[in-house]
Amino acid sequence: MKPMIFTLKKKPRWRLDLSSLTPDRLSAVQHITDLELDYGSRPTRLGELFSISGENPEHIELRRTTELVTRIGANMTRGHISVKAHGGSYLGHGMKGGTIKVNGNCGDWLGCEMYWGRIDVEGDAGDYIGAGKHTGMYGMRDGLITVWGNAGNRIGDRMRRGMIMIGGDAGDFSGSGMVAGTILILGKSGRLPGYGMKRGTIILGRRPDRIGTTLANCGTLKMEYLRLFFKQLSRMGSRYRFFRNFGPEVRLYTGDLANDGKGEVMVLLNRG
Amino acid sequence: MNINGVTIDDTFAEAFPMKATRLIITAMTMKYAYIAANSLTGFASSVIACGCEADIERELRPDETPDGRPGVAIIMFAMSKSQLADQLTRRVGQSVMTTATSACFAGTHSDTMLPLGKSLRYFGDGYQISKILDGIRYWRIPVMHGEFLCEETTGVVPAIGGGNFLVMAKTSRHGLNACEKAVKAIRAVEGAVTTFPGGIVGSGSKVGSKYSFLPASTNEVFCPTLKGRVNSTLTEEVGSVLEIVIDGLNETAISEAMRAGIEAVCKNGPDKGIYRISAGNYGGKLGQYHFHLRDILSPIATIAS
Repeated sequence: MKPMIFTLKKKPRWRLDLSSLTPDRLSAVQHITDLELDYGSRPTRLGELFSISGENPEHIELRRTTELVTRIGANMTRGHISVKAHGGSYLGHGMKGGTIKVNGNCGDWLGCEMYWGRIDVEGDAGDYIGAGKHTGMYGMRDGLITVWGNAGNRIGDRMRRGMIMIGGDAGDFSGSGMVAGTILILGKSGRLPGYGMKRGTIILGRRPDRIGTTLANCGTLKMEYLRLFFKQLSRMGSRYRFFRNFGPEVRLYTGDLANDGKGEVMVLLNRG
Repeated sequence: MNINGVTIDDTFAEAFPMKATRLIITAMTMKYAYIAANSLTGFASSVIACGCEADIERELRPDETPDGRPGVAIIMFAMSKSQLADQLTRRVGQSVMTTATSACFAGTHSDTMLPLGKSLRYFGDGYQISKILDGIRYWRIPVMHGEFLCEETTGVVPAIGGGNFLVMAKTSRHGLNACEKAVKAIRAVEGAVTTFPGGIVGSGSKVGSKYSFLPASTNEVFCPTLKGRVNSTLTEEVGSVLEIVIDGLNETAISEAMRAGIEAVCKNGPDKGIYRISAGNYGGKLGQYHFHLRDILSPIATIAS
């Protein structure tokens, strides 16, 4: 079966909530064009906004979306969503399963409070990736977020478990208030990674602009765990194969001592 | 039946159900992987008094291990899950974790899992870190050489213990020469191990004793020095009997290991002091698995004849 393709008829003028376009919801709906979406301050019929083709609700494809769309794949539990344009904000918010692939960029709050599943973004993403909303206790609980481009500030803020991988550069305060999980930033990272972290691991491809004074320097070490970690990553597909060349040598920092933290920030010294 | 001039008795090896788990032990070098594995499998020849039976299954290349370092696979057997769990914690904790640069991973995954790092993590005294990769939880325990990395659990599977055969030789030298070849051949069989020292049993036992406190005692009918005193089946030329005991993950592994081992022994033949192959059983009353020598060896015997 061909994927169900939703193409935006025209650029939205206001915020457009696409949380209804998930495999879970579409499988349960009789007349998809009558499905109501929150557009600005009023509900609008899906048929008015999108042209629809294809028949497989387990594989959804979104085209011509802009930065004004929001909550793509929110709370989804299964299936696959492919976004051929901009992913908007709050993509994968609270998702519990399935996969989302974005060919373009994404806005803020990518994968925030997600429980499980996998998000793959080809372009850049904004602030608060995998973070917890201000009203929530924790950030992402599990799952994998990969951003092959650059990322904004406070990625993994208060994250509880799971992994965030940034292929490019990241902004300031990565892993701030982190409780557990792993953040991997291959490019340059901004100031004060691991600020206020309790536990968890931040692995940096390059030394950051500034390491917090409350992260204690443990010196240069071989972390044998990284052999296992990189070997597993290298098996995730051909695109991840370069991790085979990474070595376990790191400069290790632990903290945040100001928060009685036992987290760790590792700056990789051997990238093959 | 005879193979290469060696008589094969019309009897069977009697084996019984056990529980088993496979572990993968890695280290910075193969030498230290072996040191850890040898320490773990030391004093694990028989459940009669060791608590478990264990041996090295095979070497693993770096590309076969989870962390990309050289390693060895070992299999541990016990009579029950609780016994196996107890021995796992003791032996991995005292033998593997204490070996410099070592790490320990599950070699089997099943519906029933036993605690591995789950128990050992407390050694980290609060500094231990858990990581979940691909759905599997690992524990990183800070130790003086760096970190001891250990998978949280390991799978327990039904297994079989007590597959065996007896090699009747002219002298111990002749018997050992043949049995060493047999052990080497058995090592090549996946899922089967020989848990006794060197893979060869020099003092095979029978169940029970004239002494009420002993669960097992010497198998006098196969003792050459008692030939004239007991109802022995040993012929005059037999001066030494050695036993090879095989534990395996399934019946196929044990059958294959017995076949490979006996075939290797028989290659020596009477010219090199090997006269007869038999097997140990308890009249079929103790174990539910019966490995009949002639059934297992019929393909070889046909070829030989």
